[in-house]
Amino acid sequence: MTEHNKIKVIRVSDFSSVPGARYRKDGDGSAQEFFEDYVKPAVGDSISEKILIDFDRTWGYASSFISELARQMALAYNKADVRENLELKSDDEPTLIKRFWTEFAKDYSQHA
Amino acid sequence: MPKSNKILIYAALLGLGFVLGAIANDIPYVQLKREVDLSTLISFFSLLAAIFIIPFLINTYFARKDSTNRIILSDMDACLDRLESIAGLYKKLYLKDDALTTNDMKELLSELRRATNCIATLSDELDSHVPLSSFRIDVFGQFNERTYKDLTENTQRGAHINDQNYLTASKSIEETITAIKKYRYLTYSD
Repeated sequence: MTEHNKIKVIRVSDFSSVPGARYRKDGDGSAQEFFEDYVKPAVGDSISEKILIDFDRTWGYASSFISELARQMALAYNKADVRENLELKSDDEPTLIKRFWTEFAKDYSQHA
Repeated sequence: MPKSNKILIYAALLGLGFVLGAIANDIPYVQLKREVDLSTLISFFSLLAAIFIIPFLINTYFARKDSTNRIILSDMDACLDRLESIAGLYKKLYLKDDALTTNDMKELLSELRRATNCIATLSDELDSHVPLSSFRIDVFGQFNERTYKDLTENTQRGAHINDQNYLTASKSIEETITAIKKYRYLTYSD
């Protein structure tokens, strides 16, 4: 993780060049592992500062990785704070950003 | 045509011109005014402009449309190739005896990324040139929200692709291919 002009940058490529599936039990590079070991320690208990997650420089993403990461973010943080402070970068696959926000917008309250 | 024949034809045309000129000069009923008023002059030049400009505009319009269609068709073919390639790769991964490796996942995910970007570009092109196109919903939406998920949701390193997942993903990718082919046909017949 690096900081640029007070924006914390979390690069998925620092975590894995081949991100995996949904849960730790699914194998290496899961979204759960990324969230718990990279995002949560960098962000803390609430998102009060600008955060940038950089999805570039990997081989690509399974939809389960994106949807689980969005779900974890939605469950762990205030949704309005996330919308205000979280920025996503995906020049390699621009549609991934929309996919993330679509998943993020789902109602996870019953599964929390 | 031999050069001597060409010279003969030009000479004959020149002679014909002289004869017609002499006849026209002798026709007593046709009188040309030496003076031309402004409105006649404007009409004449407007007519001349219409004769040259309208066909030029029509030609340019059709040439541009044809060129755009050719680009779109070519991009559709590129996307179809990518999807066929993914279908083949997914089948290969399904049929392999060993569990999926990191390299298998790299190959599948990078192919999917290329296909996603290809379809997204195509969708943007169709939005710009065919404003009422529903490609973004019919194809891009279907691929991005369903096919991508069917191909990757249960495809993991260290595991096999099971029969059910293979059937679902194959059907899904076939539907995307068919949808693009439908748009290809519509664009081609336009």
